[in-house]
Amino acid sequence: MKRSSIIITSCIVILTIVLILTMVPLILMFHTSIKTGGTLFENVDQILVADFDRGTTNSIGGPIAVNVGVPSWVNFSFLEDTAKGGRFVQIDFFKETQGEAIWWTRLGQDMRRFSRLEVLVRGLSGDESFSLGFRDVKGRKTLLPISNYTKDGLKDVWQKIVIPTRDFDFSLINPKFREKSAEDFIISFNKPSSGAIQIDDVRLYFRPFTLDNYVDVLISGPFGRYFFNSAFIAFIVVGGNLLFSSMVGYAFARRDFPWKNLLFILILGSLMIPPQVFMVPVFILMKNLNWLNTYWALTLPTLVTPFNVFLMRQYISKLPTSLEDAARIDGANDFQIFFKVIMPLATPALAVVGINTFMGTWNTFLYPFILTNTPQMRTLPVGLALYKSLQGVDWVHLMAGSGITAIPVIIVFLAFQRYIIAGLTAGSTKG
Amino acid sequence: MRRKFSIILLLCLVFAGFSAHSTFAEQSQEAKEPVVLNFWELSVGEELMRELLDKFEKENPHIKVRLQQLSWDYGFDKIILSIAAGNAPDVCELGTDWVPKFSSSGVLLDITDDVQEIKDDYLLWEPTYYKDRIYGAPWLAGTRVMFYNRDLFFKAGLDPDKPPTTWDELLKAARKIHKLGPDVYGFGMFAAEPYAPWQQFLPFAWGNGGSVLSKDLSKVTINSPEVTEALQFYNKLRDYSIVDRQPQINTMFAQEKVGIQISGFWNFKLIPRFNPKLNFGVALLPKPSLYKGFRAAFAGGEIFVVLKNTKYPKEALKLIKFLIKEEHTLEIVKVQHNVVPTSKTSLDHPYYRAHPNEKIFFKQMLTAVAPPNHPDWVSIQEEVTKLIEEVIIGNKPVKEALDSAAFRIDGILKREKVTGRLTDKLIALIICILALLLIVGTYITRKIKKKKSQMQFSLRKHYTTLIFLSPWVVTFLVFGIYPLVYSVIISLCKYNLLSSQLTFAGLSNFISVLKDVEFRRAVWHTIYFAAGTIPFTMAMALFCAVLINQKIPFKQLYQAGLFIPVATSVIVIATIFSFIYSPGGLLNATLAKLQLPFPKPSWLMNIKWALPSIMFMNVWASFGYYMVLFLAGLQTIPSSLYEAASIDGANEWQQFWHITLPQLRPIMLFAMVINTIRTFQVFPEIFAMTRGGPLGSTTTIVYYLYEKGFHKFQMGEAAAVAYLLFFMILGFSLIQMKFFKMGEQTAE
Repeated sequence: MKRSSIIITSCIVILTIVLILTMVPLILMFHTSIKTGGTLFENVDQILVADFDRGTTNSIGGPIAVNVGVPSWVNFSFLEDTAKGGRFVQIDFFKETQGEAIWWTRLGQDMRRFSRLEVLVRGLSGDESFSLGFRDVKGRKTLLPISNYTKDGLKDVWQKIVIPTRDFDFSLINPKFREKSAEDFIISFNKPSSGAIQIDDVRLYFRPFTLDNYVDVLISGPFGRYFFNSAFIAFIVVGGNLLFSSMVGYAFARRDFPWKNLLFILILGSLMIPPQVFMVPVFILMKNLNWLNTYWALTLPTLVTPFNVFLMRQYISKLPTSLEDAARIDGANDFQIFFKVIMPLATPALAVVGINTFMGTWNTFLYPFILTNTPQMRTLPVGLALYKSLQGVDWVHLMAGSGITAIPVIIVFLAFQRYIIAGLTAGSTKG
Repeated sequence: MRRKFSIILLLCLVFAGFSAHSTFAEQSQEAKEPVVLNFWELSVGEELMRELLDKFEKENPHIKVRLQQLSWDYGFDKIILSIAAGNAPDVCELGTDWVPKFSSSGVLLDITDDVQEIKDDYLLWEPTYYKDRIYGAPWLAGTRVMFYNRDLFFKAGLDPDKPPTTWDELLKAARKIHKLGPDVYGFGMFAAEPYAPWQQFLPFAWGNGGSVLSKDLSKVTINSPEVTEALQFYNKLRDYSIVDRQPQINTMFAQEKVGIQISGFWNFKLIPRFNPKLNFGVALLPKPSLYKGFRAAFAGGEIFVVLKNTKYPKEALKLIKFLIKEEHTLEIVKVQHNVVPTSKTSLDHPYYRAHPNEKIFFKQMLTAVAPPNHPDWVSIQEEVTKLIEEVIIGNKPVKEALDSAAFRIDGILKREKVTGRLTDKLIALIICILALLLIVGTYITRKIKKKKSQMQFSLRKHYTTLIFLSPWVVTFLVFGIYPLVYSVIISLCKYNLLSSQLTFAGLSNFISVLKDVEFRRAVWHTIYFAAGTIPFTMAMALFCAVLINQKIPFKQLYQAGLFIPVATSVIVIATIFSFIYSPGGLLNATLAKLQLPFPKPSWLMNIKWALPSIMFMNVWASFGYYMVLFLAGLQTIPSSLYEAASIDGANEWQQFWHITLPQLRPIMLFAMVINTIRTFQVFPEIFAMTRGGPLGSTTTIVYYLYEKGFHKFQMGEAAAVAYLLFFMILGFSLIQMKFFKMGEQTAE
């Protein structure tokens, strides 16, 4: 009793260590997929849009420029404040002004990922009024008057203004796209007023996490359709293999027929030729059968795979023959024996076949990519690969896409896995 | 009767032969109105492209364009396949480096006369030439410029507003930045991938007046003094550089660990994503010295080609001329920010006044150089990459490396051409002949064996067996035979995939492959890989399976947790591990914390460590798979055996050794054979992580095969490699089976 509990405790300890090692990269994957930015290991919490401490450029590298109505009455100058430390910018503007100061910040950021905008502001006379906001590539903008966020106007001391990004109406920029990509940070003087304001340290803070990455990937194409295609193909192929591969495996395990060994070597042999050389002939074959861009091409060739036949043969050959003999004496025919005796006994192997086939079919990229031509026939991995190649390697989206493909496989595994351990033979041969 | 069986087989074979050469394909309906153009595109998304095409269709109501979006990673393979199968589109986008291969294979339409009038308005025509004729029209262009970290310049005492303009200044800047710290590097140098290394180095040679090939592409000039000088400079720059793959260097640049990098447009997109705080500048590439050379850069881009077998050449040209117009290319530029238009007038466009960083790209484009448009450039550039890696990773003397590269490239220039064609009819014929031979063969053997054989094949007795076997027999006959015969034929021929030209070559493919040092290295790497992974994978899998099979709580949690890596796609795992292994990655950080040494250059860049690193990942990612197999196998062991054993006083270890292992034998055999096949065919990991590098130290047999077939288009040799690999695996598997059978007999 004591001995066995020691063994079991050590089993658990070892398995837990292995489990942790196994999970690290995958936790990394899911963790990255809900980040708002950064890479696998790097986290970023904020962007410094402008701080003016270095040269005539802002921190992101674009020059400061003005785009104002004519005549131009907006003036920029850089001043040094020793008490505060570092440089800041002063903008003088005059009564008739109806224009904007625009930082060519090349923000290039998806505004949905930020939680708030922070800026240090000082007004020299106190009654200055202006708006802050963002602009997209085509010049569409969203603005908020600063007076909403200062209690009694600007003061002659540095004030930190915090604007939650949800206050901005981002439906105004990039109206066609989900991604609210802002090009520049802008300051706009709409009301006829005059004065001088000083600005420094414009910062954008990232939200801590987001599910937008998943949504972005999912709506970047007809992913519902891709999902259906993948699921449909996987369903057919898994079903086919569960039935057909075990039939063939059974024949090889229990039957005698001419050329048996030769045929078996043929089956094994077809596994041993690297599949890359079959790419061209399979494509030509499918073209000649007129099956390009059809479900036929994606399902029929894999309904029986040598791999599963081999597995089923090995497994069935290990099953005790006593039950089969008993059934035969009871007058069962070959098919009854196969379906009523062999299949139930082979449940663990069938579970493995089911999981492996599902996994293989679900993740397979090359043949669906080669053999399909339209978005309607694409599978999930193909859709994701196209998404990836067009968007560049963006970690958060790449990992979200990978998560989307991995989750169904994990679910199927969880559904099938109890059959792997659910051995039936132990009980049935005892009696 | 055995004969009946044979007849059925014959019928199936004939069917297979016919299916290979069916006439279905010719039934496609030919509607005259409107004209439908098939257009394949790689670099712009479906959404934007469709917008432009809608506009085109509006202007030309009699033309409809069917767009197919491809991916950069695999699009090339697909284009090749479609051309090989005679299923090519009408208009297709090709990368500049692919064009020569296509134009020289005679699959493209000569459009010289049609583009004469617009020729002077556009850049980047060089790659479209073949024998003084034009086979394509430039659409979008791309080049590389110098990105530099302004903060690091400032810290190193350099003026962030004055990026280096000459080699000397570059060297000086790199040195000063590298002095800032041991993990801060002056320059990011590419290695261990096919394109980036030469695209980064050759501009230095070009700017210095050097070149790989002479103007008429007939002679090798890579060991000229100009190139030597450039490579010597590059080698000096290496002392202050980090050597790694492009994605890793891009990331390190964003992490402020690399001061200067030569990179493309993608940095504009990547940097804000990786590190939005980065303060960087963009500048033209430096030239050799103030009074010498010019500011060369790599010029690449997208070329539109019309395929020769198109039915609508006029409409295809109309589409091309429409799409390359400035107003349309700028639409793409504005949305994607990752290309420049090829129209010369764009320099003064308001867009570039508002986007000074992107304007640098356009300026650089004006002095950028396209690589030589030799049809075998794909093979030649590989030698250039190898040359660079030999010098910067392998520490080979510059002169020696250049001379041996010149010799290798000369060999490529002198390679022979192939002629002849492989048709479906030919293959159908060969399948029928094989079927006939099979029948005759069986008939003869049957006559000889007749007296001896006791096993008679009677259909009545065996019809159920036939039914059980039928799923595989049918699948094999319909889908198996054609590819098999095809690949066997190809392995005996010289075959150009692109032009479908074919000549019978006997066993010469096998001989030339066996003679190739690279192949023998690949064989060694593969065996090393298999020997280093199979025992560990098996041991881990068996170990965990046996542990999980004990009476422990949360069985399913462990089972699922250990299986998850198998469920995740290899590409994703490879990407994650590339970053774990990178110089500043998780692994090195952990080792540094534990004060343990780690190799330099980092894992995947290290000739010694690259393959073991991939092997470790392979074990990690695949043992869960075999664990599940073993778990299923463990369920076949009757518990009565264990009960009897424990009554006899056997302990757990004895039970494992005398019951579990022997009982698990059939599944073990299966697992061993499958694992052998998989490790011998290892490919996606290599493809995603190292592309066979550094210096070919991770080139396995299948990667070698892929390169041969799909990059160098020597499909015949690729097929020969496949069959050599087949015999290797078969040999190993037969040994394994013998071993297990022997064990089985002694156990019983």
